[in-house]
Amino acid sequence: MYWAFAPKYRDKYEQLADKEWKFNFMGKLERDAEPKSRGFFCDKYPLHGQFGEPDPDQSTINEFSEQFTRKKYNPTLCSAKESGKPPSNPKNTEPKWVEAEEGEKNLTKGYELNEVITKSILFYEAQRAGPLGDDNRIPWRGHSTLKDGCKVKANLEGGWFDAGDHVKFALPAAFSATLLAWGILDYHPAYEASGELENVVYSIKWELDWLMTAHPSPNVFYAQVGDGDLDHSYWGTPEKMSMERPVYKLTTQNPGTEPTAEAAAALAAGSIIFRQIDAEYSTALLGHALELFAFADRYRKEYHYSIPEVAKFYKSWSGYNDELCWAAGWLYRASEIEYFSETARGYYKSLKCNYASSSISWDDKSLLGE
Amino acid sequence: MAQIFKEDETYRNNVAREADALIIKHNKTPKGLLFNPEISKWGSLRYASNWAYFLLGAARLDPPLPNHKVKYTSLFLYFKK
Repeated sequence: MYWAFAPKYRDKYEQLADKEWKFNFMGKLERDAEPKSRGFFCDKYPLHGQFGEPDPDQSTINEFSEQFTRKKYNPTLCSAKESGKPPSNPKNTEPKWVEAEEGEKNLTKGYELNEVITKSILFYEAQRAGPLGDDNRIPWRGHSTLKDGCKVKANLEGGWFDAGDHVKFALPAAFSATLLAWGILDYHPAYEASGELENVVYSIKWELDWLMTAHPSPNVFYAQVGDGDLDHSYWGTPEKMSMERPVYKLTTQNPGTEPTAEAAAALAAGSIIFRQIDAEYSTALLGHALELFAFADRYRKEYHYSIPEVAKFYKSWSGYNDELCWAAGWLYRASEIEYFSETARGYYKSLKCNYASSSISWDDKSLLGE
Repeated sequence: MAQIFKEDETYRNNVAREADALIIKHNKTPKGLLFNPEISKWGSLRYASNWAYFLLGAARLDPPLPNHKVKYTSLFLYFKK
């Protein structure tokens, strides 16, 4: 038996493939009935029709998630006087990179690719929020957003800022982390050759750390810190911000599939990278990823319904099937649990119901899912 | 998916088809970046580099895509330039 998932059409009656259907979150579909009814269903409900095997093998997943200990809430920073501190001696960043050999330069027509890699990594370091450590390579940046999450007793001070503003949006930030992690996995010899491997790994660790602290219990995820409008009306540095920074929380009553699944993808991809570097950290990443995926998959809702404030900035136009497929694929690659292989394939089919949109962005990962 | 499930031709075929479509259908800037104002007028570099990443991935699939190999290898070299 397959099941179909169609929350948008709840309590609606429809005639589908010669059968009367009542959409009540779950429906069942005879295996024999495919592929005709599946195709039919997909055409009609491209974004919400969902096919997959019924229940996950929960015990295997539990085994993984029991192996890690979640970081406890640490309120130290909340007692600080200011939420930020500008650098005492701000200076311009002076990027340094390993010069390419003559032969490579000829091949790249004089373009210095090591410079590109170095500077793109520095960009993510300039976007850092929270208390900066001694490893900070951006001398004009200081501590910022130290009190993010204090009101809800969560450590949300770290992470990456979104763009030229100072909101923390989990969906695009986690997507960036996933894609960077994929780049590290596929092209680590190139990073190594340019002497930047360590930098890029620690660059994404900054966001991975935040994603983990934004997930303080299995079915809670903080998907946004800061209000887009309030933030955009402030013209200044994050070190000196003083406006209200609301925290937006996703729960079982108020779920949001896209950022939750994307965070699962980022953490799963990160866990593969850190397996060799720090086994304990890698296990924690994977444990969080598994819990986040279960949360995203069981409580599905397009997240701009739960966080209406996000709609102006990062509304999920493409729905959540792409994120679920993408996350399941990454979880399979990281954990090799067979369930995720099935799940990823199942969601992939639902993607193909929809015509491929050919764009790749924080919102639409259907093409990358391939 | 084509990377993870190597044995399943579905994913590889879809990658090949989408890669072809990307190269043929979309406009290119004078220097060769993919650009499609119908998808987004904003963030053209974001889209172009993500597409480039996808094509690089397609070119590097193991085993290489049949029939598409030459094309993507040359494209790969192009992006290396």
